[in-house]
Amino acid sequence: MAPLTPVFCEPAHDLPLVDLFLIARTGAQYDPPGREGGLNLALRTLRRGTRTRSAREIDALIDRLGAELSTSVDASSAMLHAAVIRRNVPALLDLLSDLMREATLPDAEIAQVRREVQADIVDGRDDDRSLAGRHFRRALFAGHPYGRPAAGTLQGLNGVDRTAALTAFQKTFCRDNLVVAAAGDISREELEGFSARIVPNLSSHPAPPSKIEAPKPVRGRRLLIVDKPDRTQTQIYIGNLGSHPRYRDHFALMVGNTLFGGTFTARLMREIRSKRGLSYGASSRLGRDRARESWSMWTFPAAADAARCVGIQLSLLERLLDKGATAREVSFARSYLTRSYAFERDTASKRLWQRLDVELLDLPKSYYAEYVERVNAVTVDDVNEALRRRLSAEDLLITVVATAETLRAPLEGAIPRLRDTQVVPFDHD
Amino acid sequence: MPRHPPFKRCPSPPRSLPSPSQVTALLQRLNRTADRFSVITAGPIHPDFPGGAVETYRLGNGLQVLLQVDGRAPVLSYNVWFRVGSRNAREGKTGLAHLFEHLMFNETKLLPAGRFDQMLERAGAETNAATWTDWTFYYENIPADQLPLVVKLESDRMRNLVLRAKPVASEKEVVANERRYRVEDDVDGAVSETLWSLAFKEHPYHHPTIGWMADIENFTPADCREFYKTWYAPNNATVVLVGDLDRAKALRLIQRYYGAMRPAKLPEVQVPREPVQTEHRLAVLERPTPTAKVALGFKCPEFSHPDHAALSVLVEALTGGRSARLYRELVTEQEIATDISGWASTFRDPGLVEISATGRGPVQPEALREAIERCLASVAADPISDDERDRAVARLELGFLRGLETVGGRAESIGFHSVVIDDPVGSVARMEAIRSLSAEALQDVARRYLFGQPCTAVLVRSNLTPGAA
Repeated sequence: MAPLTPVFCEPAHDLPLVDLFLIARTGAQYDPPGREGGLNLALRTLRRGTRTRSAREIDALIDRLGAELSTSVDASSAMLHAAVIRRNVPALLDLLSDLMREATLPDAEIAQVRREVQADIVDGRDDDRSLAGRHFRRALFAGHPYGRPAAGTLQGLNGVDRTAALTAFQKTFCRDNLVVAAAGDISREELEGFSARIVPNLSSHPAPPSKIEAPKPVRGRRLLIVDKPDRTQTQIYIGNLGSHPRYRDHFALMVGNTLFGGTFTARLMREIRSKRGLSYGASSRLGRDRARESWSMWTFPAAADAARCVGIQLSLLERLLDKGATAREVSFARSYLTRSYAFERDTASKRLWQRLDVELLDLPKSYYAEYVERVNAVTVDDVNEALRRRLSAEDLLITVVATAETLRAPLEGAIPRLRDTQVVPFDHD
Repeated sequence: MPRHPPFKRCPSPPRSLPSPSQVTALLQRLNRTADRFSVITAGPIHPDFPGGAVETYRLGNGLQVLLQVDGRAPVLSYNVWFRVGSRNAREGKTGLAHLFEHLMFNETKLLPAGRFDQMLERAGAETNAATWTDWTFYYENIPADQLPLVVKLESDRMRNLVLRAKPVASEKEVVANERRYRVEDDVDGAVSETLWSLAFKEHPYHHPTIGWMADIENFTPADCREFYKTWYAPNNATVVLVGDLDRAKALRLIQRYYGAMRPAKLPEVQVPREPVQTEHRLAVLERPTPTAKVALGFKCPEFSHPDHAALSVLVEALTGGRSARLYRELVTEQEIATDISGWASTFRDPGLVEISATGRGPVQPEALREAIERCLASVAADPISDDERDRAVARLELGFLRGLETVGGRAESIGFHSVVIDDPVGSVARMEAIRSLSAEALQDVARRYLFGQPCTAVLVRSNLTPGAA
């Protein structure tokens, strides 16, 4: 029986530009513990040679077509994304078909890509913000697929060989696990033709279950210092688990997050930046995936202000949960979310991703169709109940990239009822 | 015969291109009660810009208005560009244009602090701003029906800003934090700042746009008031509107809210000329970074110069994409770098071709620099091929198209090209020029701007002790 590969097409012919996506419904969640990074390694090596083309020929062809080819892997999905100038769509589809059907993943290329990924991991330590974000997630989701590094670790990657990478690819990009999608100057017929060319040649492994177990929240106030020398500034993430799009109070929590840290005039920005000048940015966000994701606040004050900033953030959250949001704030957040919704649908790519969200995150089919209506229906009581049900000021992971020697004591002093402190070197894998 | 068919500007359905007589009739109506500052005159219409024609207008007070009607989605982008940036900075007062950009979101005579953002956010707008060497611009991406609000608020802050000591002090703290984020604790930011300050001795491009920390700390409200009075005037500004709008209503709003403003007497800008660089320059930094870094800078002409397009293609051929020479050699073949990037500065005045690399493993910055220079030198003996040229042009075309996908992207392109080269649709002409370049033209600019030319280099060495963190 022919596989039922969903094909999503969002045509727009105003610019001669096409975005194309090959997406697997599962991701790095199936990388073996301790040997993470196999799927990522396989995807990055796809362009390193097929039965008829060398890596160098493929690189030159992609550039000659005015195309870009990128890959991404997270816990719950994996994706190839290609962007290309319209006139070269047929040639790009030929190349992608070749990569999906005939990629050889040679040992030497696997080894070279492994070295590249390892070098990227080391280089990534220069970016304090991503360092903070990565450590926050690893600690918050410890033992859960969301906490495992999809790109792998320096040590663990050494244990990922060609067989492991190939197996990860075949099990993930199998017939029944694939979604084909495109936006821009392309027709549905063209896309379906492409899908029909590649899908029969994919592996016939049964699609792995896409369900992801619910993660467990952090208990108590925990401080994690990512220790880096000579920091004049800190990067701070504070949070815990947040929402799931299927929660009945999801929209209320979204409104609550918006009024707390989702806009330039929200409480966090007003108190941290506008009134006190403590941090250039101050925001909060609700993650979204197939299982309950994180809720976090992000600030980056000067090292000398870090303890004060953390103290204020904790007080702001306590106050929000204790006193609640006001009717005026809720009305403001609803208005912002519903009126700015036009910018969630103003390009073909964005419209495509709304449809893909519904498909990949297993959202209710009416999620976007009813978005404005559901946001508008949220009341002040809904918001305050949702905030109290889903967030806690007592159970928080506080992750700070800072020079521990100078900041550990002040930070600990700024966090009442702190349960424990952990210090990890910034180059800890 | 071109290797590719000519770039099709926009094979989209016909749009509402106004006829000259329609424009004349519209302006007659609008100008019936106008005075000498609010009278609107029409300039050229550029019919072939992606997304629709770009119409040009000017108010009697000098305000330039650029407009593109595109009703595909009920959204609108509104930009206000001022011809002032760090190019206009004075010694001891660097960073003022950028600090001022922050202050523009504060109190006005009509609205208390914070109300500007509140009103726009309530209306569903995304609003922000940016400052660089030659310009400062403010934007709002808004639902189309909110145009009256944004015109009212933008025009208000152009003439009614209130600059009190307390918010100025608070905003200085914010900017100091931004500087820590972008420069002090960011190796790439520190490298870029060092490169430009070393390469330019006289020209204000020597100064970072964000300003030196000591200057940021020392600004007074009086400095800010003086800056506002000098530069924030209709005859130093361009308003760009792109999206789902009614031409007549939009122009009427602009006339109503901006038409009462008087033009300022703008200072004659005398930017010091940078002396010709005759020697190589070098700075070595030590930072707690796990990898070596190298940045090289070669003097290059201004964005409007005829050689600039060829230099951009040359830089793309050397550094853009996995098949580019430097990438292939340093990242893929030798495995001594994790990344390579290049850029020919897009400024009003002559700037730099920058080539930067991040080292891999134990490679030292000196060795990385030598490898880059060897690769650059190889271009003399082994010229850029037609195939390399084609690849670079195709990549630039992709980038060009990407920048035009949204109303915000198109408004920014129109505003930028208007302010920097006085041609709102200059991006299209530039893309055509890029497509027409031969490989020989790339070789020619390589010879004149890179081979054997004085180079400014910044090297970053790691001062981390293994296992010390």
